[in-house]
Amino acid sequence: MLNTITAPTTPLFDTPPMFAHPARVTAIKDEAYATATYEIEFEDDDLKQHYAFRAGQFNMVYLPNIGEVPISLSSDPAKTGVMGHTIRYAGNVTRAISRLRVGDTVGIRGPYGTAWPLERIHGNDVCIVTGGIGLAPLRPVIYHIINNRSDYGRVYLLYGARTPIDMLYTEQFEDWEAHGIEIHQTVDRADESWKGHVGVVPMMFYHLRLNPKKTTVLTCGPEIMIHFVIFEALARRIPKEQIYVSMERNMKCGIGLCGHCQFGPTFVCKEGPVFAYAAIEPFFGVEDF
Amino acid sequence: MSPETALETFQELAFTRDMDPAVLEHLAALAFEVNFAEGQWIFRETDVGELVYLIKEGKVALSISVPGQGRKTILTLGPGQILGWSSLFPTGRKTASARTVTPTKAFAFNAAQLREAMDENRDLGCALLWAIADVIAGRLKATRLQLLDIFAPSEMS
Repeated sequence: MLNTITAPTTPLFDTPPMFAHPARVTAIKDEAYATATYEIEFEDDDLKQHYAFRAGQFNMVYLPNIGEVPISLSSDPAKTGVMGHTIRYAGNVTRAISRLRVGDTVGIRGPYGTAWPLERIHGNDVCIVTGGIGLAPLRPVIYHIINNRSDYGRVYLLYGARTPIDMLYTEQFEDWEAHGIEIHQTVDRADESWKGHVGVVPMMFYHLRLNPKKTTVLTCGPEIMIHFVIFEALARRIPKEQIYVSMERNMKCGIGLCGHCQFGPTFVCKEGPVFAYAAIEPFFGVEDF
Repeated sequence: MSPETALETFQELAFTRDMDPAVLEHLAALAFEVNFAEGQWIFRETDVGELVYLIKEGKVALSISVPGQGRKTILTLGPGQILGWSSLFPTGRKTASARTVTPTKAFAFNAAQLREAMDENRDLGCALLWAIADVIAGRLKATRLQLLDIFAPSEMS
């Protein structure tokens, strides 16, 4: 087993693995340009009550006659009955999702994949570093930390976006800060009306004084951003064993059968998407991997 | 501000905290404190600046005026980061404009005095050059990433 962390894929129900369960869109909230959060509930009450996921996992979201996409869960794992998916409209399926309205039906199978190691890092400081829509799979981490605040030390969120209007969940930041999460926002470009930081998100490490022995870094975003985040974390003597990344690959089946998401000797959908950096270091950043 | 107070602050700021105490003492003797109100220009691009700053508190935006597009902020700097280092090098001409985003306190150094001190005290010179090289390398790295425009909308699914 390549990965060294957390839960394997959780078989949801006693049904064939590719079976998508009908679920209804119950709310849609615009988050940023071409990005919205969909709240979805299973139509079957039994499924609705028993579905559970862990921060970092994803569902396969299916639209009949169009296709299926893997989408990270972005809602509170402690909240049962409703699944939140923050979706950026970028391809055929997600553009079709953008035409859904409240009350429409989709197919859901999941949850799949590994989770962030939130129990393993009890007592640690946590540095969450993310950019763009990469905050979506990390928002459940923030909910979990807030729900279990005394289990963690200092918590930092370093969040980057292209421009100020591309930032997700900004209306929640005040509440997160009230729960002791230190937020450093930055954008790649802005006009003079922006009073926050300008610069790429790995540069936000320069504003922190971390204790490398007790800091865990959790990062998700464009792979090239992750490279730079790891570089900065290692430069601050944070051991590679304390760095976790969520990888994005072209996932199709979600259960490690089709091979589309192969990453080195592993399948991202099954042994990821969350990996301990130490486990993938040999082939992380290797060209064409 | 006394050199002792400056020394204590240097021991906390990222740019200086790993330097040898003797080097910091020398730096503290050269520093003087400056305060800027919110929205105040510290210098403008093409100015020939005489001062180099180490930010103690606050936030400063570096910007470049692009003909036809207005002023673009390219980077913001905060506590523990240096500002205006181009004054240390020949011509001393500023390559960007600096304006405070929030009220800002900084240590200022006269660039000519600092160069002289770096020549006379090789420990100081070596420590500062390494620290400045690290800053320049970091900003180069960040600029490369910024150029990639990694959060641009994608047409891929």
